[in-house]
Amino acid sequence: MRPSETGRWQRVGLVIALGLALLASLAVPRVGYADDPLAEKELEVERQLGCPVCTNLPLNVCDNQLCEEMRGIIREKLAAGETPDQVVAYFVSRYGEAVLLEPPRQGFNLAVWYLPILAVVIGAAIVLIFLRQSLQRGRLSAEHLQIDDPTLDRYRRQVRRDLERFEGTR
Amino acid sequence: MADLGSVALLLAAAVTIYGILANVLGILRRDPALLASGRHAAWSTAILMAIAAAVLVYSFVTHDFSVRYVAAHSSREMSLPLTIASFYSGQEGSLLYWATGLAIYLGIVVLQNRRVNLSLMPYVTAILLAIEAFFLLMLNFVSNPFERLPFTAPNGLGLNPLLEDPGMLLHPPVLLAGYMSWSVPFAFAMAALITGQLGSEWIRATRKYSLFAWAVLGAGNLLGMWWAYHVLGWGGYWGWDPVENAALMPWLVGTAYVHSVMIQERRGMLKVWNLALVIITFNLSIFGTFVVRSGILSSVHSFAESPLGIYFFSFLALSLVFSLGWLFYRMPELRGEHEFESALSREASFLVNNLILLGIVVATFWGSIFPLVTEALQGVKLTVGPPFFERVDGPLFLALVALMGIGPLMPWRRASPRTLRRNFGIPLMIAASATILLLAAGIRQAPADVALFVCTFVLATTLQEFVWGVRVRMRAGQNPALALVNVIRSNRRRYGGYIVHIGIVLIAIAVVGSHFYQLEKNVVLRPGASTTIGRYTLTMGHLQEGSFPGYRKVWVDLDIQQDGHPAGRLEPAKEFHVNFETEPNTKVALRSTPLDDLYIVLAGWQPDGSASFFIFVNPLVFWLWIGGAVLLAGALITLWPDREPARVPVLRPVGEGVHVEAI
Repeated sequence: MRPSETGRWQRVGLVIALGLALLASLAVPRVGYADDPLAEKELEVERQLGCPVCTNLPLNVCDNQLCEEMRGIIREKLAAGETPDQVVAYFVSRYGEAVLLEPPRQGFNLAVWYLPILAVVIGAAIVLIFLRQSLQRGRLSAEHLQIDDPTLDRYRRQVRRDLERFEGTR
Repeated sequence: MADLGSVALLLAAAVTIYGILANVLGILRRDPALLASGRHAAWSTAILMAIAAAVLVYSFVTHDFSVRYVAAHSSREMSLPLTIASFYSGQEGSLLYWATGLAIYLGIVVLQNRRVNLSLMPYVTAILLAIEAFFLLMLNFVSNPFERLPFTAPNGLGLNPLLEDPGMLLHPPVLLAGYMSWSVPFAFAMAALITGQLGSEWIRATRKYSLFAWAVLGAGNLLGMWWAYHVLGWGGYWGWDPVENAALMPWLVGTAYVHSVMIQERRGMLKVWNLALVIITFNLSIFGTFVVRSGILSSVHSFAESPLGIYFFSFLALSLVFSLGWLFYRMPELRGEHEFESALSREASFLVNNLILLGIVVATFWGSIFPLVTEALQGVKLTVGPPFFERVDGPLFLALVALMGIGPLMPWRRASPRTLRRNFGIPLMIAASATILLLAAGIRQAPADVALFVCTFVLATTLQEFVWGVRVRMRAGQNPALALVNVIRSNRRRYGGYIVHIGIVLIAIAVVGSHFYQLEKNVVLRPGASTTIGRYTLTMGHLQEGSFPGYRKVWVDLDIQQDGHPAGRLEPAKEFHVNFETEPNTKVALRSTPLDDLYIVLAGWQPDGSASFFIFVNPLVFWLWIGGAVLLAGALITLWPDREPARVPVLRPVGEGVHVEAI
């Protein structure tokens, strides 16, 4: 491989890494919004919890009796000075981990995040390898077809100019 | 009368199986008469299924409560459109709807291809009939919509009130039709694999069929979002519910396919990949059809559980083994005809597009089934809800949107630095200025700014394509409107595609706005009290209750002020329907403007006359529906049939001995 090419692949890698870092920076939780700090905290807790009796509906938008009571408990506990994390932990101890809308980040659960990331990384690697091999095969067959006849250079230049002009107009 | 339906279903099963045999034998013996008979079997199935469907509609309309399905899903009090819509509100009916749709679609496909694709069609017909046969097996022996009750019920149970909504008339049938439509591209792909005719014939033959399936499935998803937003009453349009995910996944893989297939058309590359995509899309469509009914994934749709799951997973397994088996068998013959020439090219950008789309599908699938996995492996019950999907899929979707701005401006084969500068210079400047304006206007959540930068960039690159096309024609003296129409007509596939992209960008902008800038408030109000959210002030009137035919209703009137000016009255309500008194139906009060939606849910009330509300201000959701409409319009432009070449009458008599080729 020519040195300039190694450089190009490094650059491609760098761009991909930067892109991934940018994407990762986007994966921050949504900022809650309400007009007083207590309500803000309430929403923060409610959005992490799901209704235990209906399916996956976040607590902040579920209107059945149980959720109403749970919201009351959240309000009381926050007003009594507990932190949002403590309140969430209380509900986990009471209803089990299934009450969390996102599994706790430990042990096997980490697979839920890492497997998709791994899949995309492996996919990207496959695409890169495939692309590189295809580029190489293409170059080899092009070299194979190379005809060294200086009289043809004039026409080659003309074709290249025409192609560029064509690409420019589209 | 219902017995006629049962008979039609039995006959259809017999005819379908005969049709499969006739086609297979016809192929083996090269017997045109048998093949013609196979075609006729396809048409007969279509007619028989249409009869069965008509009988079920008739049973609903005449309130024939001796039929179990009719008694379980409708009542005398229901309006005529809803009574007819009850057809597909349960498992038996939606299976019948799917199977009828497939039979009729097969009939049309056979008709359209009676003079073309002759070497593929017998295989296509046999495969589609085999899919039909599976559904007929279910309909006849596992889940028969015409099953009788031992008595005639005086009245039916009625529809689940959640489904008593105009959205119900549209969302399920369109979504099911979308699932069903992917059978046809799949059948052509399998025909290509089995016959070994792996060139561009099957791709050309299925171009419109796959675009059609893609558009219908997309419409089904959009209508589902619309229904969820207006009916379910949790302030949003997408809850990452397993059933929603199941509907999204085939659409995403289908999207990957309609893009990567262009590489095969243009350059003869990626043949294996395209076949794999069609196979995955079809199987995900079957998965989507049944996940609603199987009850294996807990979901808001689980009002319709059944023991059908096992049959479906068997069918799915069989179909996967069959299709992937053929794909592996043909692998050596599926070499590409060309090689990539540059990493900066249209082809390469399609590869990245496919990578991201499939990444989203893997993440979504894995997140949806992860609770099953942990329960099976560790006995732990878990929930994987919206926060997970937003975190993982959100950034991938943004990357996809960004690519939508870059890909279409990449030339085929290889890009030169000059074309890149020329193509991206102006859009980048527009996007940068727009972002500065947004920052100045106070939009300062970094992810939202990045996302909106990307959206404006894509919008600008896409519009730039139209501007260039129009300018060339205006230089030739056409007026701008005519020039635009002519540009689109000159290459409907390309410009239709761009219009779809504009629709997606509008949807993306709406998602960003409503996700990052949603305001939310849970309040308890007494009569006369007010609350403020964003630019709205709400003043509570009175808690009221009334009885209506078929239901009891509790509602509150709220006077709305926008920026201090009166802006009408909203009435959020709860309805208690007969037979469903314990599941009150939320009636969302919605005031939609291009800037934001005021969305109010009546959550509960107390004997003292106070009431609690969930109040949301959802910015830009208006543009979600506009974007959806634009997307479908673009798809329609692409799909619109080409005008047949005009026949020109021969002006001079043709001399003797001159052989005239057909026009």
